[in-house]
Amino acid sequence: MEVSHEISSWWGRQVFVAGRADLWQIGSLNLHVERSGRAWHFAYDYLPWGDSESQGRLQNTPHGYWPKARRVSGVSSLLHATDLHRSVLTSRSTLRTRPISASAEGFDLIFQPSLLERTYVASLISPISLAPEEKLNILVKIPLSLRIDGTSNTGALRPLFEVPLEDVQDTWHGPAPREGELAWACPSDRENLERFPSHLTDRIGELNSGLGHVIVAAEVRNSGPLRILESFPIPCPQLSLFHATKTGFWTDRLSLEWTALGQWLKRPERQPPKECGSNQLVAHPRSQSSEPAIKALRGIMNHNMFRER
Amino acid sequence: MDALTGKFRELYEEWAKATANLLTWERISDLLTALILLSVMLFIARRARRSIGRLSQLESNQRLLVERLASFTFTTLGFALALDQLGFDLKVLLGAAGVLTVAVGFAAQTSASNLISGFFLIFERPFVVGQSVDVGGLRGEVVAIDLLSTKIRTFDNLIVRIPNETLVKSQITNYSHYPIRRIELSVGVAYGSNLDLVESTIARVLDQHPRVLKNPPPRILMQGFGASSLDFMVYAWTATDLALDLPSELYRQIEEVFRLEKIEIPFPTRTLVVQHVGKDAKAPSAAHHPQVLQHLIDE
Repeated sequence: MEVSHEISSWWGRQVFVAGRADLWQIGSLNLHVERSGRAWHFAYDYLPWGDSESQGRLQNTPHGYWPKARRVSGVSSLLHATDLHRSVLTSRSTLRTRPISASAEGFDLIFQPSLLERTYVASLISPISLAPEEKLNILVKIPLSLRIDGTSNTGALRPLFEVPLEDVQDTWHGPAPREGELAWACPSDRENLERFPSHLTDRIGELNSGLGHVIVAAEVRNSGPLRILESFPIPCPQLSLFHATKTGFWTDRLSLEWTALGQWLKRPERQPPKECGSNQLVAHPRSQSSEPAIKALRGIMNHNMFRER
Repeated sequence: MDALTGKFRELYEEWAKATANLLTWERISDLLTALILLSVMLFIARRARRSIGRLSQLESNQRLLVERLASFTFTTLGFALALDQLGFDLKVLLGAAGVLTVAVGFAAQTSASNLISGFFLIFERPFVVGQSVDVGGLRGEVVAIDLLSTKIRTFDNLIVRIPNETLVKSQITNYSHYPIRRIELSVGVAYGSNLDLVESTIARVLDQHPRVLKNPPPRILMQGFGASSLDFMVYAWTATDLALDLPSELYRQIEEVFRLEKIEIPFPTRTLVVQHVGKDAKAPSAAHHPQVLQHLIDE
């Protein structure tokens, strides 16, 4: 019998019964979890974009339905779920499954919100011009990531799985394919939709952080000549994550400088913005930004005649 | 007998005199100083090796090489200082070492060449361990870069040992140098297809695939008029480690979407045109027309 119930918050300890497949629906993410033998099986999918009825709901449905894929009733095991309906025309559906060895872990899972593990490139639907030394204060809504830790018999936590709470697309952030970094961005096909949500604004009232999003308050400064701003990077691994009861998830305030050479200098300010209100720290940055001296030393060490300049 | 005894006595006296000279305080002091110098240099060599081992900026191969060089340099210096302290003439030793080096160099010409090539490979870094490369047509993953040779594991799981000298002389293609790569797909559609629909359909597949990079954007170019199809080339960028699997995924999705959009993917066909002869000719039949019949026989 299907049991579906709303859960007050999606993070924290989730009791997991061995031998039973569970489905969590968090925002647009469908996460299917099953433990078989000595391995965890995680499969995930995303709701079609614009499915407003499903967006924003939060529920945990053991033996539940698979709303996106119209799961065949009675199927409770991921191993039998390969007949799920899929179509590239109607959705971006791809059931992505990842088995993970679970030799010593217990059966409880710890769900934790975290920031994306790569830089996120935020694009403006309508590019704007930035005069020299002009500053732009902007609020950006970007997807959160769900990190799942397993608990062992000794109580220690072991990271098992991590997935963005909203579908993201790979992209490259850099002046050329030989220079830059692999990043994430909002999928291309969604930018063309008229119902593209307000992901980027200068007014807090227009943003609803939602279940699977975090708001970044950024100051973009152009220290070069007049130019058109089409996109800018948000260095998620270098930011802390905060949670405010009233306003949702926030990151450190971010200062971005667009230099005359076209490079982005990213400086996290190590505190949430005022708009955030009363908050608590959820997660420290994944990595610290390298100091210029270390970068220079690395540059010298990595220098070689095969590298293009 | 007396003569023999006298000879032994002489020898003993000489030995006693030499021993007495050897074990003077000065000699003992030199010996201790040499030992201290050697110990200090060995200690410095060990410390240098540990310090270099902690340098995270260096690749493992570079680190190993620098560690060994530092250790060898300080140890050799320690022995040289100790010998100098004991009164040995280092010029003679260095001369002997030079002669020995020349002799060994001639004997181990190939090894020396490989060794020097190994230095080049480790410091120029055309590739590092774990990267996928093509060396003169041999494709595989680099598993070790040693001083004399480099070991490559081919994709069918064979280990190939290539002398470093050969590597330095060869053309090397590194597939993993940059994090992203461009893939190419060749797509043909039937003559008469709606070209705008074809392009927009392929673009939709590319846009919807999360692993096709949004930037640099994909490109769809019409290549020309093929024998049986209108040919398109699709260029898309992706993360390097996905470059092998992604074309297959995209081809499958394009085929699926073309089927739904009723875009025909043609296969080579030959059209046979049968002309009617005469005004009131009956239903055409190849057998009734000598030219067509001859054509069919030729076919």
